[in-house]
Amino acid sequence: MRRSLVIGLAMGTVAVAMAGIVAEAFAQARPLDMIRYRQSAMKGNGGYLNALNAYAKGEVTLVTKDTIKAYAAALAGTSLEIPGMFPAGTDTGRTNAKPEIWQKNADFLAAAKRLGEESTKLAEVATGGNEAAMKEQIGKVAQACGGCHQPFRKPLPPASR
Amino acid sequence: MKDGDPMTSTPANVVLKCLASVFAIAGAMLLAAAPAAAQANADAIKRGEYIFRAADCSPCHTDTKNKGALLAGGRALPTPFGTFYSPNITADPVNGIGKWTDADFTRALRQGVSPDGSHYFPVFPYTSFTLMTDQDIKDLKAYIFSLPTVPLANKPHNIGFPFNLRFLQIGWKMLFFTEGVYKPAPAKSAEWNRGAYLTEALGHCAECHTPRNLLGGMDRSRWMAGSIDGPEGEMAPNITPHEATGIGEWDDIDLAYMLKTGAVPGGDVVGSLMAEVIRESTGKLTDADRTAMAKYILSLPAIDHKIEKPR
Repeated sequence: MRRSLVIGLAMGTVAVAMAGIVAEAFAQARPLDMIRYRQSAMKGNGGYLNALNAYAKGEVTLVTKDTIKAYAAALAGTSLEIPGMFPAGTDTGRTNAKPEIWQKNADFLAAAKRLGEESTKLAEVATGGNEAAMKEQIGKVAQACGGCHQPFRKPLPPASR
Repeated sequence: MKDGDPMTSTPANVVLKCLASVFAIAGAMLLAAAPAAAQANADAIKRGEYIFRAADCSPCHTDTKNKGALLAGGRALPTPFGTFYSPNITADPVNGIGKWTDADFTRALRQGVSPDGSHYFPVFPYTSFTLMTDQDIKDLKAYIFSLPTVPLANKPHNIGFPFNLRFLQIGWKMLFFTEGVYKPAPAKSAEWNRGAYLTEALGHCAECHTPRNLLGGMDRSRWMAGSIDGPEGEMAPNITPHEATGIGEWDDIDLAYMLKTGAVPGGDVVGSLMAEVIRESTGKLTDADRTAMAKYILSLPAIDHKIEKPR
């Protein structure tokens, strides 16, 4: 579990470093770069979430409320970028994005916003430091991820998870 | 009335008076019974809501994608045999199931037969619901009948010949359907039996996670071992505890957590149709029930069956 935490941290760091690159720079770039960028950012989110999940399942005593606040802030930060990560022209090729992202864009933006809300709430709950409340809210963050994957991401083969 | 008034002394009047008293007493009893009956119904509705969640009725019977009303049907269910449209199961008397008796409802779930005697296509998972107890079926109906009715007409299925011939379902049932309520395994714990009931009868997990043969019957030799062409053409993963091809690396805590949140041990959160199941069904159950399901599923025989599609 300690190893998964380290991996999660490493992945998250990569995602944050990449988030530092201005998304608009990609607007003129080839679509594949944006697709790779957003897939890496999502993998970073997965790293954070996976570390949080390990904690929520009750196995990791290493985690403090500050760790959780940091992860939650990173997830909330990425969520703000999601609207810009799917410019026109990035809907084909090596992407698992569904056309619904562009067809029902308002719904998509609402789903992305929910990730921001739930992870911001996690940071707030972590400030209080109530363990049960933090664990419950981690589940809500995960549900926010799934709430966007289901309508807007193509099903992935189980092996690639 | 005066004494001696013929009206008060005729035998007919005496009978009337007696009848009036009888009605008064009966009425008083009914009035006393009414709150008890209402309470019993409220209890049934409450239990039924949980059954409704556990049986995951709403996703198929609601056209969520097109913002359809709850349980008003019309959701397209594409299958290898054609596209089915789920029916309206609100209590609307014309378009829904408002005129159904308890016996009608029970027969639909237990036997896959509609009130007019026609046979359902197995896209409706009566093959699993047949395992439900009478009490659960009754409670489920009470809950559905407590919900708003929607006057939306059913959309005809779009399925090709010969699959559209309903009477062929009789043969299908002889081949692939066993009727009967779930019988607890006496050698197993109460928790295991609860998990089995939730998984097999209510959750009807096998309907998607078990591969089907050319006639659409579930392959019992590969129970829960995954299907490459599940509903809507999606893959349903192997959920037997096989190390390499199933979920053998998971424990019951991992699986119960996935049923609650959608998060799988690798860090991803499931999308696809399973996200609906979590949102509408397993995410709303108790922790104890999710744990029972997880323990039951992980006790299934591990089957080597790799689910992969060329991308």
